[in-house]
Amino acid sequence: MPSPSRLYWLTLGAAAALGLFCFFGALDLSGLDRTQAGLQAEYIGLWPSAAAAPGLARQFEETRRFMKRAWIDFVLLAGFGCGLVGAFTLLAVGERRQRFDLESREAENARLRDLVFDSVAEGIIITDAAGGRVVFNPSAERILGGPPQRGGTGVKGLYCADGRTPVPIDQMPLARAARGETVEAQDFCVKGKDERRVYVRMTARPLRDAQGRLSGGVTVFRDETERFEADQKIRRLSRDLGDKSSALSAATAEIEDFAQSVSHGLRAPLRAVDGFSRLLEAHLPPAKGEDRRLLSVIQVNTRRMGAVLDDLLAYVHLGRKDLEPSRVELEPLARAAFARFLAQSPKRKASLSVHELPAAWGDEAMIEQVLANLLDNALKFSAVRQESVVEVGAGDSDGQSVYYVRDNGVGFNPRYAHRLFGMFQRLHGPDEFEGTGVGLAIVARIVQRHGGRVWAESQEGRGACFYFTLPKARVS
Amino acid sequence: MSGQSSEIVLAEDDAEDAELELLALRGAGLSERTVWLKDGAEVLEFVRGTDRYAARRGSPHPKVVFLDLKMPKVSGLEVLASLKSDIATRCIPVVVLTSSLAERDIAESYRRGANSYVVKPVQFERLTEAVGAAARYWTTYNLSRVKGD
Repeated sequence: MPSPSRLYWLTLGAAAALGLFCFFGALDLSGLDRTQAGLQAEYIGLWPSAAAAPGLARQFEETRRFMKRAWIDFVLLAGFGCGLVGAFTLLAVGERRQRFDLESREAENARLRDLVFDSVAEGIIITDAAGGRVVFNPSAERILGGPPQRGGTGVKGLYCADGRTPVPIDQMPLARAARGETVEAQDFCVKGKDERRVYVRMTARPLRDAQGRLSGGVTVFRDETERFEADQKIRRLSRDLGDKSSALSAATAEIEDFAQSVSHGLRAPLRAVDGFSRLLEAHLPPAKGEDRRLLSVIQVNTRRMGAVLDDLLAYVHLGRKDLEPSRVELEPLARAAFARFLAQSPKRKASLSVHELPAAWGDEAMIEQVLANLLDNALKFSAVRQESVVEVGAGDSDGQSVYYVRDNGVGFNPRYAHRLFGMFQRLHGPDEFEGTGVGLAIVARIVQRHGGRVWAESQEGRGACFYFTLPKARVS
Repeated sequence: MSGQSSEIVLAEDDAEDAELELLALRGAGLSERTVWLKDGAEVLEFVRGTDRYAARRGSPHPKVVFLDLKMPKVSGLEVLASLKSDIATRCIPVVVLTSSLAERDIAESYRRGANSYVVKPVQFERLTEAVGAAARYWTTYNLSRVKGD
């Protein structure tokens, strides 16, 4: 097939040559004047002299004029014809060229479409309205583990996402699409011959021809097995976690109930022991000194047991109480707690210095409890000094605020620092300092529930410093 | 007014606790007579003047009722609900006096209309202090509401 551009130039050249030929031919004849024509005729013996044969000369002149007009007519006609032919040829060539361009573009597009169809990761299956013809891409075959089925359903062994309920043939996405329905991103499970399970997310759409008539359906799907299995694993784990956490809260509730009952059960008899020993004491004659001492031993121990029960209950209760976090200013809490303790023993000499304390984010009542327990501790263990000097301050660490409570008390042996915050752990005997060994355990529990840490530093006889961290108050 | 009653009711099933609490009330120097009732049903009969206390019908209401929660027959919470839902007895101040520190007991008592909730301290001095203070408040400082208000 000749290239359109060559044909175009050939036609143009031929038309130009013909045109030139006609032009020069016409010029040749029209350019002869009468003298030249007379000389010529004389020369060839046709025209001896104009005077000798005036009739012949006139006849010759007429013939020559007629020939000239006829020639001009012919040339004009031929030129017009050539132009017409050239124009038609150009039009034809142009149209042909356009069609050719369109065809080659379409061929290129189709080639690209095929390329995409063959190389996308999504499986694609196309069927006609009757379901007899099925076209699929390599990804479809790869995902399904074999070529798709004929018959309009596309996929054999299609189950719902639970992997157990088979999808009825007329409900399969491709079948629904071929009926004109649209299926939006539904999850399915495909079971292969080797019991291999593939999870796919399928979308299906009806196909319509140019007139809008239903001509088939297409389904597109991707292999979601990995994501699906990961999801299932997450669901399984969170269910396990939920089970465990509800078991844990049930256990905690049980412990609290147990602590409540124990506390209630023990407090009533204790109250009787204390109350009736007081009554007995009131009935004793003043002389019975030793009897009074024995009674006071009973009373002191009853009181201690009551305090242990109260603290134990408070400790257990802490575990279940929900945090009610807000912005908490620690300085007023520390000052109020300190003043409360001093009011209980007005003869004590004690001073409190509070440095700048950043606001914390936490449960105010609980943080107040932390400060109260630490200040109580500081005052208790510095009671041997002439004046208790207590200092409260703060620093910064890893985005949290570090608070400290320092005293000039008896301190403790750093070797036992790890035992300080345990339940019922005491580093001093009950005869030296009163206490149940629960106060610091409560401090540790509250701070831990706020996501913070507690620790303490000391040298025996040189005071102690207790540290705790709390989240910083949010900027509102 | 609910009348110039001169009675304080102590509802307590534990005899030893009752003895200590009666001592505490007596020690508080109150002029009112204290009546000890041993179960919830008796409390309701006393207040309403029925059955065993039919003779009390029409007498003024007690000035305050100290109510233990764990009692036989009719529990403290049931007595509380019964007193507070009856328009005739709603105005009687009820102080829950119990060993229970359980959050749900505290919440439930207030929900049913308790006027105070006092946990019995283990130490006798503290018990005397707590019961005495509560009794003084409700008999001396607090003005009783108009009956049926």
